[in-house]
Amino acid sequence: MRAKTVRRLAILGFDLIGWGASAYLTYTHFAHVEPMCGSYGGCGYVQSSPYATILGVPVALLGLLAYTVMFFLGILAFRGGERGEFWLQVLAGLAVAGTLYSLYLTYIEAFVLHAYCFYCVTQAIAITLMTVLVLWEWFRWAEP
Amino acid sequence: MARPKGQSTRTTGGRNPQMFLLILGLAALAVLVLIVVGSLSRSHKAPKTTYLKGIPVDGRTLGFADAPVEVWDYSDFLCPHCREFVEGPEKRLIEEYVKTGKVRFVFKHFVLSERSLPAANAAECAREQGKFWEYHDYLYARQATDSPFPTQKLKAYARQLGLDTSRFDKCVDEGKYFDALMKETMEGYKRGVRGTPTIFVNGTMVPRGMQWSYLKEAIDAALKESQ
Repeated sequence: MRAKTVRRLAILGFDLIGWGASAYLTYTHFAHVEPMCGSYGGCGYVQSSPYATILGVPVALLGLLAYTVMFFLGILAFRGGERGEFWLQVLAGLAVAGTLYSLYLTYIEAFVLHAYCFYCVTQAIAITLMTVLVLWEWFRWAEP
Repeated sequence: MARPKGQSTRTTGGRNPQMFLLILGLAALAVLVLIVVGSLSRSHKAPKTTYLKGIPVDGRTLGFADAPVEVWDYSDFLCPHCREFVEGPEKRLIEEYVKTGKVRFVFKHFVLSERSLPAANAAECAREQGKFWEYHDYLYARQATDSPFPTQKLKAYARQLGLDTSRFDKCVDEGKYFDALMKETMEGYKRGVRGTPTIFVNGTMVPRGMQWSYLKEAIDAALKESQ
């Protein structure tokens, strides 16, 4: 497979990982169940903290929406065509915002709540790697 | 018109620093807005305790002495689920069952760790002065921002609630109730409490009692039994 194809599949793959983590946390929020979290996890603690919602909207739901939108932006960008690069730029903007916000949330986990949530950290890593690849893709857009 | 090869939109791509900076800027702005809105929605004012009006208060017990059902809540002031319970089911319980004389509600300490001791002790110091519930509400309202509650914060709340501060501060500084709190926690442990909040109705633990539907079901059953 060409490097470009691998890169694009990886972008969509990381998006799906983030989507899965957000979907699970959204589910646990609305179903009022504790996230499964291994032997000693701060998932329930982190998820029930006031940082897990903004004006009553769970942050996990925002993440789920963002990952859904980013997935389709990726498809739009990669299927070729005139506006491909435009969609990639929108995707890059969202991905950078997602990374910055995840960075903030991870900071909150580390220094305010003193607890980590496996799914939150997983999606933070996924969005960071995805952003690196999206920016890389954009910088290499002109290449065949 | 046909474009010459290699001169399409490519030149405005990622190599265009202006576009790159614009996207970075917009992304950073969006995140900033999210963080600010989030922190504004979290900043609590001093909690209102008007819900206590018309209810007899005896230390950590709320409600009429002849209420047929007694509900205990084993809680910790650092535990977020306890805060959720306080903000939701507890208020409803007080409104629908305590005010109507059906239930007597008792707060019981279950100190999850040493870190929780100062806050629980301070709540007891407030109880000495008849303001347990006001202080209890204050702690939960401030949990998000002030947990694990440094001493100066605990003292500041007491000032704002109009407590006798010299007496309160002394009580906080000497950790007056540490032993009693540990004893109460052990007592809960013996009753089967392993996490917080754990709810008991007439001395029987209610599984998933922190959820209103389960709690209500247990109380209604106990009320029926008492008739």
